[in-house]
Amino acid sequence: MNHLDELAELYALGSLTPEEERRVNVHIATCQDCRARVNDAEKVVAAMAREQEASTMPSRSTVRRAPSAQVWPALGFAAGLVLPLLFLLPVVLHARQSAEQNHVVFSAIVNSHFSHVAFTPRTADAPHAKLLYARGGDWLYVVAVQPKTDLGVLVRSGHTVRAVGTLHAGFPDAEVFVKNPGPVGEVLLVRGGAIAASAHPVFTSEVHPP
Amino acid sequence: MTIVEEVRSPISLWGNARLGENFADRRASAFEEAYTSLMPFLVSIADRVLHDRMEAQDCAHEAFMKVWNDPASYQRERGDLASFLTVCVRNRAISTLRANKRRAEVLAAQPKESAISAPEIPDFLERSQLVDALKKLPPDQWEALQLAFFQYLTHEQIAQRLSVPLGTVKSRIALALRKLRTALPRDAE
Repeated sequence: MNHLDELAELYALGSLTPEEERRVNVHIATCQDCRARVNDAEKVVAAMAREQEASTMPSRSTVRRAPSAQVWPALGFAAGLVLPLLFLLPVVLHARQSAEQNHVVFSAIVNSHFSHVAFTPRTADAPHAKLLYARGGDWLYVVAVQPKTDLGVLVRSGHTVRAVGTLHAGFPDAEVFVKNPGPVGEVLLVRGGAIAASAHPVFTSEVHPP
Repeated sequence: MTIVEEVRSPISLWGNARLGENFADRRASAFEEAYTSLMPFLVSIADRVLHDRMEAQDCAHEAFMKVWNDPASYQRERGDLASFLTVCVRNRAISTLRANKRRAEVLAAQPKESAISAPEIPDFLERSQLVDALKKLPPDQWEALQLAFFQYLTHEQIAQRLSVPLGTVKSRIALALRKLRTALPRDAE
């Protein structure tokens, strides 16, 4: 058997071609010695990456961020507040999440199929934004990068348009999580009465047809 | 509006054998714990490579989900989960960077780290537990390593940059990482 030799370390550094990476993956599936070498190399690269990030964390961590500004962990919300409200439609969540609150949201994620779609800009200064949503229509999550001004988040279904939240300017990221949004045909970002961007989720459930 | 300041640290995830075992068994609680605790860090790793926050979020999420959805990709014998996921995300980001041909643009915007006179260490590593080992690396090993780690070059590109044989580049990088591995404290595993 030809062992990996230096490829183990280069693999961990991301310095291999795709073909070489495939060779490494095939080999370490059966070779314990080379797998151990790859594991060791990955620990070093991860430690270097960790130190690299840690050095910038002070500056990043002192940047005041919008509530739940971390994209996926941000799906959390106040369980004590929200659980009673789950019986109300829709529920719009902005609050800072706790571990318990994260548990509620991540349980929902793990147990649901979800998709995402980028917002199509309608104006030149539209923010870079994306819509994540449960394919069954149980929740929506709108995230935007550095919106210059506050943006209203509206949900359109047929001729009905409902306001469900606001993306707030002044933070690195902004987001709105909407639990049980009801029928959704299109999600709009609105500024000053004009549509800045729009997104069309494609649901697989018949529960919430457009 | 509520303001939060902290970025959750993934430190407790490093060397967490229990989490790795539960993740390998594809337990939902392990998904939740790993995703919640590691994702901000993984996004930062991808962002550092891609210089695009949204793309970094997609990259980190997709890499994580690929590992989760493929039982063969992470198994107990693959070692520390946090290190494994870090490398997965970083490598995916590097592949994306190469694929979308933005590398030249990104590198042009970066400081010329090749100008670092080896074995000088960038400031951000000075507090690192790796710093002593990095400083002890022979200049040629440090030079090859920093081109791979900081500039995401392939070994073939490094060979061209340094005008040395490909085998020499491979050997220098491998030797450097092996030395660093022996220097890592056991509690970092």
